[in-house]
Amino acid sequence: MRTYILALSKYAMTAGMLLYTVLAFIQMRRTGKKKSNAADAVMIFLLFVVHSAAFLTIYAATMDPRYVFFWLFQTVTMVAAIVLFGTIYPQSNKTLYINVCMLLSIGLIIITRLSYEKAVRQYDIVSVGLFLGIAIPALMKKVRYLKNLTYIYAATGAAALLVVLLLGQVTQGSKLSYSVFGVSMQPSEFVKILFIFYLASAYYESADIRHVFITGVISAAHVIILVMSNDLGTALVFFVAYVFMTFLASGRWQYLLAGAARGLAGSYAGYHLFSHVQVRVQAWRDPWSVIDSMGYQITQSLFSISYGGLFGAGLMQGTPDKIPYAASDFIFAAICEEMGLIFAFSMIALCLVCFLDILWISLNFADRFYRFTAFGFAVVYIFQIFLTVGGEIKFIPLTGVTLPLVSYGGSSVLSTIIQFAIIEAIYIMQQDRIKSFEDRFEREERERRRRTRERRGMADHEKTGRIRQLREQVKRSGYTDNRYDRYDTPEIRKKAAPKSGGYKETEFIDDRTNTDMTEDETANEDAYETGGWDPELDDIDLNDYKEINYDPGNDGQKEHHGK
Amino acid sequence: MRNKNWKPFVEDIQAEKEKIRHEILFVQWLFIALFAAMTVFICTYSINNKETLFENDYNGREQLLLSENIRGSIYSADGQVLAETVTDKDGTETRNYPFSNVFSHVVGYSTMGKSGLEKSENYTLIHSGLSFSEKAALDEKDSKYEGNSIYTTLDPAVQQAAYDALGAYSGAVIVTDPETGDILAMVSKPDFDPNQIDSMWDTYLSEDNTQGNLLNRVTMGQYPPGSTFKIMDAIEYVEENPETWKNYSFNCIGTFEKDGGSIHCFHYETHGQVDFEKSFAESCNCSFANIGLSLDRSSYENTLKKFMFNSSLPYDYPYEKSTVDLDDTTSAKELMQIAIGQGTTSMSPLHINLITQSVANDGVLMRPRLVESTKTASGTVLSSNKTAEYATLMDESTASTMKELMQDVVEEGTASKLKGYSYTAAGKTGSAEYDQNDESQSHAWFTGFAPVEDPKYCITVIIEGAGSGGDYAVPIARRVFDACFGQ
Repeated sequence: MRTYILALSKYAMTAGMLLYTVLAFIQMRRTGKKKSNAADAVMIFLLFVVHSAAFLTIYAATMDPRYVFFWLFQTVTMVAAIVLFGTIYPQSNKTLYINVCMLLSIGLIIITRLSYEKAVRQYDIVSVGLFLGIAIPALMKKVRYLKNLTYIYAATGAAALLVVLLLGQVTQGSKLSYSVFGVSMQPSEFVKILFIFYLASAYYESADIRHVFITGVISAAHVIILVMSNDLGTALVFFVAYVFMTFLASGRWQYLLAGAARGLAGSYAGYHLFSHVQVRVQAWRDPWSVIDSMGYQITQSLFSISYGGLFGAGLMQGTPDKIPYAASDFIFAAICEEMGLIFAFSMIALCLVCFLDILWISLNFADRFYRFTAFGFAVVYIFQIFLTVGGEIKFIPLTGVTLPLVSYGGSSVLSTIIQFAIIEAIYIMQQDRIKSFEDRFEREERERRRRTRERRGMADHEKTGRIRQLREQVKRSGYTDNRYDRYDTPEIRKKAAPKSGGYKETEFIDDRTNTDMTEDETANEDAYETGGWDPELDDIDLNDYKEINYDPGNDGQKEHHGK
Repeated sequence: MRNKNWKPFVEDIQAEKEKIRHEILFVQWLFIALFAAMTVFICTYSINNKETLFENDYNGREQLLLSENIRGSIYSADGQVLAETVTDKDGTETRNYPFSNVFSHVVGYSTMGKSGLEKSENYTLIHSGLSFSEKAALDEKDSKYEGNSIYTTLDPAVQQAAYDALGAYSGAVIVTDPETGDILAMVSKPDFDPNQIDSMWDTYLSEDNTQGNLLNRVTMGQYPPGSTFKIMDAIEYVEENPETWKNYSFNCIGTFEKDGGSIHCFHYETHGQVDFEKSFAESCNCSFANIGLSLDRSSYENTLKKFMFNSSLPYDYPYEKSTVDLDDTTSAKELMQIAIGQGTTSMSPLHINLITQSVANDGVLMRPRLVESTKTASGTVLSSNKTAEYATLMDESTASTMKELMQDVVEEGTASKLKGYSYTAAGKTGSAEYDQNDESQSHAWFTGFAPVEDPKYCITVIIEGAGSGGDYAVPIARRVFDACFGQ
């Protein structure tokens, strides 16, 4: 039995992950439309399958009962978080939240396999993060002045980085962290969020040359502090965030090209200024010649990836722990070795799906501030994955950044969960705005009906004229609606035609007899005045409006919160 | 609010969306392309280099596998064990080589580093291809999985005969089947006992030891080919003069001088008036220096290239490339040296054997085969090497001419010690001088095949520093042939 579990569970995990990714992709394509709850349910089930199969394998290999309890804790936490989140925010992007949980669970699996103690620490932070993630959207809805804090973001962020530079502890030759109350943290991970907020608030009104220049200077300050702290990977992430957000805000390709040129110039200068950059480039071009020193990590990573093959060696059946920093910087190689290339690249595809999802949330969102924020998070997220995975597979030089949500590292995972929670908040706000539009349209519709009813004593041609007017208005708004067609029958038109001799009082015709309204609907409409009107029974299809990305909240803001 | 018209906002948003749509799409496709490129890159790299990466000394996953699997066995063509791992009662594993020194170089060793098949087939040997049920059964017994087995083409009878025939000489013997390319025997001396490699290691590698016990002379040895190189001259001459080569005539007076170069026959022997056949059979250096000078250089250069000089051999295991320095600028003096296989030319016994095989097999060279198949410990075939043609090195007519010429060497030439047995043999001897200062010292070469009508065995022998090929190498070949044909 044990033999079969150890040998076959990897195929179950690969299949589960592959199917999960396909579903996540299909769900992602539905952004802006209604996502399928059934697919969400299947995805939660697959998450459970992959996670359980992994822990079953670890248990079969070690026969250590603490892994069973650990599995139980993780499962309960994850299910509780997903259920709670879905219940509190019915308007949220549940698929994205489940995807985050999937990536977290993959991380927990491989970290558990590498070091139980580290995994427990990671689990604690993940639990805190997941529930913090539930609180954030509620908080964000309350806080309306986020976009006005431009320089506060920049000052706080730069100050935090500066503190690390001056007081930080040196790990692997870089100053990354410092301890507060005995807890070691990496401020750069959180400054990332502030930096994106800074760029979004700096650009949301205008991205003319003056703004671009000022933000350029402030971004450069961030990047230089990071370079001085020797945290080149993060410096690069900040730089790329600046270039891409300037590009999006200005819509000018010149800025993108200029950014690329500056990036190349910076790399060239860095290569000639810093010996450790040269060493890294050397270790990338030919790691075999420096296998004893700088090439050791990357070659160990390549051994790992290659040893795993398509389906992996199986959990606990490889030696990913041979790679230095396997749990943080080289987690992708560890996943490749034990879970296989198919699994690992399904995971990367899942990361891409999350990225695209955020990108489309950004595209569909009305408020420029939140749009830029979402876009910034998307770029930072995917670029970090590109840096770490590319470095581990010798596609690009090694920069030493973590794989967000998956890698071991409290600051990294907490910061990434917060980023995703902010994106959820943005999504929820967007959905709320659509909802508020729907509500208002409903109100206006009710108003219209009331007026129509008042006019029932009026001439038909007047009534028809008003209806035409209403329909024109709706048509101009960009979608078709045949709701009013029933008032446009030839009979009514004939009656409404102005007769010679001018205005003539005519008998009231209850046009409802000419429509396809059922008796229930008629009764419902009559109950309107008394307050017993039931939208469900009415023939207004609210889903018609969901396609429109109308944002009443924007003007609402101008009314209530405008400067 | 109630009276506010919502249309402008919808329109604004649509306009804004249009404005950034291109930027968003660009970012989307940029990253999709980057990730697609990364996926293709690492998949092809890691799958194509799987074995190379695994074998790297820094990898260390071999130990992991060896903790689960028992190193597999190596078998001869008739199923005898050449190498196996024996587990004691207390779980200690020892690598056992039942034939001790006989297969030392070709099978190799696996404890002090690795060599031979133990090295080349290491990946297969330490993996276990057993099915899940077989593995589960072994788990029940709490024993390790058996690694995969290697089935070689080696023939213990021929190998033993070659090993015995070589006796105490330093040198090498390789026996192959020219029809299939199978390597039947590969002996190199001085040798070593792989069972005792651990204890003898320091002795073998000490600076006082100049014997090179660990060197496989068949593949890694580079020797001046001496007169065996005349096979190349003859092939080129016959191909250049298909009609007139029989009319060739030369008067040998023991030495031959041209453009400041001087050639003499072995031990200053005088052959007198010789034709082409006799020049070849008697291995007349003067005549072949003369023939060499008459050859078309660029054509000869191409022929040598085709015969794998200065290039790779179709051999899957480690070997040294043979070298010959011939181009348009080669002086007459050097060319005369090249023609008699002296000078800077150097070849491995394996290479000479491949050329001989192609003559024996009507000009077609088969791809050399050392491993016939790999199987799991329970006998399921994992992979099998099919016999395959490598290249046609010469016309069938040239090959048959060469066969006749080489048979004359046995019948009335320098290899007469092979004459008069139940099988017909053909070949070419060589006595390669390797010491510039002492011309009396020479390596003894013989390369040939038998039976001539339908060659089954192709043999190449070299004995270091023994003397003339006819006197020393031919008798060894004869003893191996005797064993092959059951005498």
